[in-house]
Amino acid sequence: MIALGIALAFCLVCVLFSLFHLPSIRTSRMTQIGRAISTAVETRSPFLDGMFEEISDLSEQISVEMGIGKHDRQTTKVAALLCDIGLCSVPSAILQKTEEWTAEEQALFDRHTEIGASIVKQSAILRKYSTIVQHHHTKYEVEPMTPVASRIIGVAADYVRYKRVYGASRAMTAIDRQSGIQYDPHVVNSLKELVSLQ
Amino acid sequence: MGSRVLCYVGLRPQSKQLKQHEGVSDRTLEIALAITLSLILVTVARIATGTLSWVGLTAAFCTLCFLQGRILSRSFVVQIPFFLVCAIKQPFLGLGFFAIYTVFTILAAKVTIKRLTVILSSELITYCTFAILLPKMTPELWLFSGFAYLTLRTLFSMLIASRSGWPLDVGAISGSWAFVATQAFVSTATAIFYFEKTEVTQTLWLTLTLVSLFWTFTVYLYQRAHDEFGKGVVALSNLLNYSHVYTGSHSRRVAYLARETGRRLGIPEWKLDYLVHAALLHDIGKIAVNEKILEKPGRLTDEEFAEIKKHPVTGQKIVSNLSELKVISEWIRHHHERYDGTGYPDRLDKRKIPIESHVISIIDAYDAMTGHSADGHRRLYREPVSSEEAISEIKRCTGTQFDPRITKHFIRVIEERKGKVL
Repeated sequence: MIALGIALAFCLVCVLFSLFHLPSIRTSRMTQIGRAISTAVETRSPFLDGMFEEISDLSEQISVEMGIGKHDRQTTKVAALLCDIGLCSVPSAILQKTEEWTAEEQALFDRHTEIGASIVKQSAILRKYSTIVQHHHTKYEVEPMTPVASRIIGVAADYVRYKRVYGASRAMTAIDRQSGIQYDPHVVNSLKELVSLQ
Repeated sequence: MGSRVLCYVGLRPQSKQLKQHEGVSDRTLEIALAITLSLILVTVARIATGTLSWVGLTAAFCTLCFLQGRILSRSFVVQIPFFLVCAIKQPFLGLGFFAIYTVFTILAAKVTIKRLTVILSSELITYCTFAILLPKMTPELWLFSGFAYLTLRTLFSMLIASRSGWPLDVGAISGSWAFVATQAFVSTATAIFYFEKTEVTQTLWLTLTLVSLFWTFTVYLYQRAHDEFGKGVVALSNLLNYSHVYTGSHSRRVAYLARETGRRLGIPEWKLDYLVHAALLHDIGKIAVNEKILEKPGRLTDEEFAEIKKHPVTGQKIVSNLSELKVISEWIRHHHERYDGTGYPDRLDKRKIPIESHVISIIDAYDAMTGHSADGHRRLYREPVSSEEAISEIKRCTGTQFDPRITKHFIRVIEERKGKVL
């Protein structure tokens, strides 16, 4: 009986470990991998410094605002870190250029979503993010049914980028003008509420 | 009761990760846990029966033998390893079996099926539990078969064997090493109590089955989480492939040689995993370097060289995001330090440089010189030289660029591998 008791206690520990401790380890590891990847991409250009962390935080805040479930929120957060992974195959000369891009350079840059998706597909554990990565710059009016995570990331990424260049208020106007065309209006509304709260 | 043969066929899950970069394994942890668990189980069994029997001790000894053999055999990518667990009542006969058993576990990596059949057919092992471990099996299938087996065996032994008194119990174990080790213990203990005809048999059997069931499941989940992290690291190291041409296979080769060299240096197995991760990621900082500089055929200017010199620091910055690999970010930072203190970025010398950085630095230089690769991309700025020339160059630089303690081990690794294709 004592033996059985000990065994049951052991089983309970096993169950608790796999139910509560392991998932949290896995999410934190996933986030860490995402952070490492985003830092690696950021080092390619001074303009990108600390940007993905910001995008990731903003995406998470927007998804909280939109009332998205915990699991999807986690996915959004990690996907936001991975979204510009394709930039690692864009020549650093383009990324570091301060002047306006030529049409050719712009086209090379625009391919980063596709390349990113193909990179993400190579890895078994990142594969689930490939659709989100591929569609994070897709126009809302062309394809409204992209994953909600990529719509959120699309808005967050552009907002953060505009904010760095033009400042917060002009960035918001620019995003608002494209609402319904480039961006999902629900996401833009949530972003507006977030910004007005701050 | 005449003979009781317990026969188990075990299937080992295939680790895809092993293929990817020559095995980042967490077997050490598993083995340690299995030892602990077996000892606990033996203690419980002894308390429950109230006897300090020979058999009780031999069961523990058996498991330890197996694990020891496992550690000794070292080569984790074995083709058909197997182990033999004996449940013999006579202590002396039992010890004889353990001797045989230990020898075979040590030889585990080299035993062929033919020899195995000879051993199995001999009458000597009438009272034995044995297992064959086969490679190539997906984890999901393994888990499923493990559960199916446990259920069937429970039903069989509770409903049929115990009532009809059939002496035979045939089953299959599948799983990772820790699981099979635990299972081997469970069946040994079962056999012991069967022979001793104690009253607690049923309860204890149930207990052990229950424990092993939950144990397996937890180990499985843990292992999967660990594998995931390893795959993430591989994904990170692959990023370099997309910005430059050559580096992917370079870091894989460095990782492979790092494991071999580390083993020769006597670095413990759990630390080797870190070394392999470090070797995979050592050049990750080059992602920040302009690809035009890296692919430039001629000599570099001072500014260009200064940019390349930044890569260990950038690498450290990237890897320090992974809190579990904090320790390796230091090694990555120092992998271009030289033994005489003229390296970069911190100009450390001799013993101030971590030994792992030394290892990576030597292998990095060797691979940069020989520069052969499977995918046809060579280092663009220099013609590759033969392995002998590279070795003599490394010998020449020993004491100035490289640590003499490590060079001799590394050279032996290379000489042993001669003729084999990496």
